[in-house]
Amino acid sequence: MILSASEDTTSPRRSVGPNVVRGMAIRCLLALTVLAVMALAGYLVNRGRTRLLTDHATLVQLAGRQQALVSRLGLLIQRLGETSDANERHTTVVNLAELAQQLQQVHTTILYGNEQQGRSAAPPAVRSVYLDKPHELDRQLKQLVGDVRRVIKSDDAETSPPQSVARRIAASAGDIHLLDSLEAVLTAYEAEGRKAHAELRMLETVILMLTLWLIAATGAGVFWPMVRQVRSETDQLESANAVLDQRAAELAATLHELEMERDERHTRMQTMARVMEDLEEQRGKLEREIQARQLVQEALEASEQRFYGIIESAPTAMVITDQQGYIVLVNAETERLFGYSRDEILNQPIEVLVPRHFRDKHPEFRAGFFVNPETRRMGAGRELYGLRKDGTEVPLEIGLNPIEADEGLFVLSAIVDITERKRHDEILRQSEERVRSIVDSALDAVVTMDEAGNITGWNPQAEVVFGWSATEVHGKPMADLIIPENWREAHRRGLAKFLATGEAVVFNQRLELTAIRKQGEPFPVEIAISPLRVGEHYEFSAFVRDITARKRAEEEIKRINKELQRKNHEMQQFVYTVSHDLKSPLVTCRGFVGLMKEDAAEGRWNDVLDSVVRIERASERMGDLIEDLLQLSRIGVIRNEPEEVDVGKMIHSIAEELADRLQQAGVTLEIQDNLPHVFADHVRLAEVFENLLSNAIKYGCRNGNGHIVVGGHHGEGEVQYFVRDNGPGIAKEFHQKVFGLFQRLESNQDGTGVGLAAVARILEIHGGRAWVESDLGQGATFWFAFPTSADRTMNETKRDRREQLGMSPIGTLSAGS
Amino acid sequence: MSTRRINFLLVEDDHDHAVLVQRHIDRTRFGNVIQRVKDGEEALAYLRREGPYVQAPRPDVILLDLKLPKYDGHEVLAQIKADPDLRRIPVIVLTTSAAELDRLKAYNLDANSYLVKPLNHEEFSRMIEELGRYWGGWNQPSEETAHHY
Repeated sequence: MILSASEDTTSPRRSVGPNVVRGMAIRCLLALTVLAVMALAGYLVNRGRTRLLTDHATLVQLAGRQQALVSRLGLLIQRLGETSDANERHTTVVNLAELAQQLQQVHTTILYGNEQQGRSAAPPAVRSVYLDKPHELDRQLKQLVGDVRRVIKSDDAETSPPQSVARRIAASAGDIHLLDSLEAVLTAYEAEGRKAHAELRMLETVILMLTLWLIAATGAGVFWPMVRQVRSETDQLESANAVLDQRAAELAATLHELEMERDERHTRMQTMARVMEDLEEQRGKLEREIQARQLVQEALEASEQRFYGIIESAPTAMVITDQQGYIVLVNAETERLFGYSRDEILNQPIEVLVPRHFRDKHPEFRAGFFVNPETRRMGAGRELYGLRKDGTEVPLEIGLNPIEADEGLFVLSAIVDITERKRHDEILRQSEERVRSIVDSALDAVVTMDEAGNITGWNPQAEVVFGWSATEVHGKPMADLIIPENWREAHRRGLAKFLATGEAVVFNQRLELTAIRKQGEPFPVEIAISPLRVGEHYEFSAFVRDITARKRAEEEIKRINKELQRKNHEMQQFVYTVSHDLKSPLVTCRGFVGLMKEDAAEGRWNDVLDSVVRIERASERMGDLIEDLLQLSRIGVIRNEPEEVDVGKMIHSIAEELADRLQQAGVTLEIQDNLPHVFADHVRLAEVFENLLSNAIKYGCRNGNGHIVVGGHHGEGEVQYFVRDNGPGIAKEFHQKVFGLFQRLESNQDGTGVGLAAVARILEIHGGRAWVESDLGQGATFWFAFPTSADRTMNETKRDRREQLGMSPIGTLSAGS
Repeated sequence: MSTRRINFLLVEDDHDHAVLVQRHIDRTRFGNVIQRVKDGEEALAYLRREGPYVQAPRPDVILLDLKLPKYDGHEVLAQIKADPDLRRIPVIVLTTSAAELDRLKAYNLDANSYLVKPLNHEEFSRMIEELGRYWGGWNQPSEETAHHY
């Protein structure tokens, strides 16, 4: 069907060519153009008409106006004639002049048009009224206007009697035709207008008719054919489509049929193939079965042969006995082991080979085996012996195997001579015993661990060191028992790494680590770990030494070293400071000695005397200084037994000694009541108070009304005392310095600069502290405190507290330098 | 060359030592102790014309003992040399120590000279004389000029 498409005369293919479309387009365009033209014409006509109407209206208006003006002119003339009032006449004359002017203007406009206002000149009919006979309106009007003007202009317009003027104007007015003429103008205008209007109207109608007709023509001639053509084209296309659809459907049906046939054939083929496969399989199976049966048969025969072969050649003695205990089969090894030839023992009871002292029991055991015949070792846990032909006994290991045969139940015994093995076992046991005793008696803890990290060995020393007994730890993970928590992870990782890669950093060297005892307390250990390869696996053994004591000793040594170094350094500082300060009075002496020599040579004896006095004083001072230094050095070296001191009583007695000085300086001393007692070195405590009081008098009470207060109270874990003065006080920046050796705040010659340093040192020795509270101008309060703990020794200096205060042992002596 | 005497500010806490220095200076006829102060605080107050020293004249030379109460002599020296107004005044350090280290310490703080107590009269006189020659009058910039720099 498809093949014959090209010959089909009713071929649905038709070309809707471009020509047809173009024709249609042109026709449409033409029609539209014509319509446009008509519209335009109509518009133009309309416009003309409107214009005409407007012009006409204007002209009528003007003509009307002209008429009015002329009438008014007449009225005014009349008035001029009637009145004799000079003012009135003047006004009338003026108005007349105006009117004349206006009349002229209007006339001109009507006749000649006004370009400015867009008025065209009068149409010919009107013009003829103006210019031609009989009317000659132009002439009339001009004459009138001229007359009026002349009359007005003439001198006697206002002065002459009015009637004469009017008469003159009236006379010069001439024709009565004026009004008629004006009327005629109007009429002429109207006639013109109407004519034009009628023309236009006719034109309009024509155009309208034409337009309508053209529309109809276009519709019929252009649009209708176009529409028809389009419709026919689309009809044709539709029918063509329908034909194509039909053919397509036919083709699809054919295709479908063919496919179905193909599928059917395919299925049939598959089925046949499967059947063939099955047959093949079954054939194969049958063949194999036959083969297998043959093999089994051969194998059975072979194995029987082998069985006997194995038995015969076995390295262990094999004896088969029947249910009654008679020997039915032996192998070569049996002959060798027991020393019998097989003929000698075949068909003998098995008891022949059993040592006499077991023989009685043996049948019982045999019977027992048959109750539950299973492959097992004979006499597990018991030592078994066999009897040789020559009467000697041999240690054995025997395995029993039941054998079922047609003739009944038999027992195959595999007999092994374990003489050698026993010997080796003994050697091993002895060597283990040796190692064990070494380990057990070691003074170090020996711990062994398997690959899983569990404890496999724990010697007595380990029990002592760690606190766990061997039974408690055996098989438990070592890390959890003796390694501190924060190291367990590292241990596990290390172990895993070693097992995986064979690398480890901990082996075969001494390590210092921390371990924990049973109670959980950590302690330092020295540990040496070695890996041991035991067959496929590793075991780890460690020698662990508790080095707590050693560490402590090391620390102690370090501490003592540091202490010594520090003391050394301070000693150096002390010597430096002292030497400097001792130099001062020495310089004075030498200086004045020098001066003295000159003065003596020149006889200045007064000066010499002065110098001598100074030298004397200086050397005295030096002596005091050295004395005080000696005293200072004695502190801490010469110790007195501490005792309970009644501080109140002590101070009172010191006050008595200082009474003179107090009086001299005008100082009052107040001692508070209930001063707490303290456990201290009596002598040193007195020195402290003496120094503080002495200082207070010297430096705190200069103005004559000095007042010193001494008091004390219990503090937290200590007893505190103070000496307060109302002197000039000490600035905050010097509160530390003031306790330093030779650190003075002014150049007072009295003090040696040692007092407060001594106080500080004494307190230090006692494990106490000293400090000052003061501000410039606020007096000074010197505090010191003794700790109340009764079991401290005098030499135990609490370093922490000292460092807290920034004071160090001899450091107090060199502070500030 | 000026014949004006050199004005000293003496910073010394020990009274006897001060007397010694005073006597030495008197005998040179070149010098004049215009003020003796007993510690660093007073010395700086004097130099800066504070408190009771508002009218104080500017000394030509400062004699500074290193061993002073409250503030150490080295501190005072450092302060003087750090003050742009005061640092051009020559400072002669007086001390009991002849040790090399102490000398270096003083020079590192810009001390102009270093004398060990007790003073040797010849040495001291010579120094004063030379000071007089070098620092007297025309060699020293006027105070106003100095102030600008």
